Amino acid sequence: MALLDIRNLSIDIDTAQGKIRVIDKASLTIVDGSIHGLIGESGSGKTLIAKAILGLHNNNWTVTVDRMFLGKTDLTKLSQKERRKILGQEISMIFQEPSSYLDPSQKIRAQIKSVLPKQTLKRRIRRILGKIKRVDIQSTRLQIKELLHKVGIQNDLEVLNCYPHQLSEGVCQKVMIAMAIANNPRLIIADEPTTAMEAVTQSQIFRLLYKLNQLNNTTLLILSNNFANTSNLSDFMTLIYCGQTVESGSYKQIMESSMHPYTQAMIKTIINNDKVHEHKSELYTLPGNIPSSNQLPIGCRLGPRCPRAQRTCVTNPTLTIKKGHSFRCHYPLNLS
Amino acid sequence: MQPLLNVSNLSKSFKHISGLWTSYDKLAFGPVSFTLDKAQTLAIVGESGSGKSALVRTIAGLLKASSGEIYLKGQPFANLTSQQQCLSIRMIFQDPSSSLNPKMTVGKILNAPLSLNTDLTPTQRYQQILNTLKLVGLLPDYLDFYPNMLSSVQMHQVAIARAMILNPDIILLDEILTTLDISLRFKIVNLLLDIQKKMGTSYIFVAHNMYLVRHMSDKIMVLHEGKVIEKGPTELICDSPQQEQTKYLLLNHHPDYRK
Repeated sequence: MALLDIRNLSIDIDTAQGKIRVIDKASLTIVDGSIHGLIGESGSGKTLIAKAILGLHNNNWTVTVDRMFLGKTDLTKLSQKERRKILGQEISMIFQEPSSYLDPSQKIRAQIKSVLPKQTLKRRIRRILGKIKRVDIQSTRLQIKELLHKVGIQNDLEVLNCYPHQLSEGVCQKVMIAMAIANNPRLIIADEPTTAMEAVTQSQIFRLLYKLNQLNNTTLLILSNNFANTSNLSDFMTLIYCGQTVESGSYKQIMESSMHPYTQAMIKTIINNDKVHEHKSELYTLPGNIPSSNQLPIGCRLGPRCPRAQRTCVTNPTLTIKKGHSFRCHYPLNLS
Repeated sequence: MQPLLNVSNLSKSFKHISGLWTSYDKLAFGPVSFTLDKAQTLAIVGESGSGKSALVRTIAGLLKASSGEIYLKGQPFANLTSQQQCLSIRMIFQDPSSSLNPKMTVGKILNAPLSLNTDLTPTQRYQQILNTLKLVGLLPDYLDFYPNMLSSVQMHQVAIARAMILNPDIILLDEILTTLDISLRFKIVNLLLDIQKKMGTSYIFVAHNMYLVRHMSDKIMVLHEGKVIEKGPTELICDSPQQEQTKYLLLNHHPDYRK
């Protein structure tokens, strides 16, 4: 069953040069209990999609969407206040560069406490009653401790008394994950959770996210620019280039029978220990650069860089869906 | 034959003030010894805090070594004038958006090292700038651009051009590839390999991605808490690592979740 179902999401942003369509008819279906990778290079609009899902957009954005459902609730019909309630309870987000997203003037303890449900009088009375009836209701202190242990921070007391700048980037990211899972959300959106981290910390964070998915059955949407890392982890993948979703499908469909030239180029960026690449040989890249958002080409935005581009590519290709494997291309590869 | 660069027993320690009168020395790295030949690449890998950046900065001359010697073509590096040092060893910093002067155009940025370190006439300098821009794959139109008008990969190209403009023997690269996207990263890697092939430049670089390290380097040096725990040819270290730390570094790349 689809937990999150988005059809034809478009985002226009008002700028000095006029309206720019940064996201062009993106569709995204996230299956309940899976890990979904949304992969695109920087500036391709991954974060914009995540923000549109959360409803965190500015006034100068125009978000149009045909359909946006979270489970059975229609997100487009909710008011701002109701959306705000969903944020943190049902969907939570892990941002990139965690040390800059945590409040620098507060200790970690206060920041985690603010995410947990408020200690109201009712809750306190219930806890005292629980003690009399010998029903174990956790205190906040224990809750925080358990959360930190869950994400693999052993020395919880030391970390809790630190300010964010005293901690390393990896530990900060773990704290962010702890805050994200505090209310047991159904969907966690991780926005480039491991950029600018070292290999060792990176694999720790990925292993942690994988464990969360396996043990709690939390659905994960991982936004990343590193195809090699994310593809290994995810069950389903969507590739995005300059605001257009180019291809999406399951891991097997993407890796074994990719249809879009961009996906092919991304698959070629995986280098591993197999001796495919000769030592110091030239690595494969698409020609040209990523266009800036005010000089986007019309039609298929990959057009000028695409090795298979032809004249029809100046019109926007329609979405083709085959057995859950969807792509937008006039001249797909591997078409059987 | 004499090696291009010979580093023997180099070490660096920082002074930490622990009380009102007392202080102690904390070792950043060392002792480190290695040699580097022409058109070779040495990769320095290790976890964070293992002293990689300090080592690279010491070789570049930004930090003063506590002990040990650096020999360049047999001569002690410290005896050379700063101009000669600049002509032989150049460094590229991690983030080009902060290492390029935002108030200078690309042309001025590239002109500065030439006018400070060489006796070339303005026309010769201009010719050299054009040649270097061609080498890194930029058009001459970019000479009048300010760094903030460039994309991230173009800024990297300008940073490489600034290092290459004096035709140095050795370029030090401090984690320049980590902040780039994967396809742009490959572009810069291709550019660096191309320059090495054309000009015979040697590189010393710090990196995280072991597969890129394997692809680019001839020798690897593994640092752990300031000590060299393993060094040798790339093939040997990647195929049969001896130390636990090296195995750990290699293992942590693309762990397979599907097993």
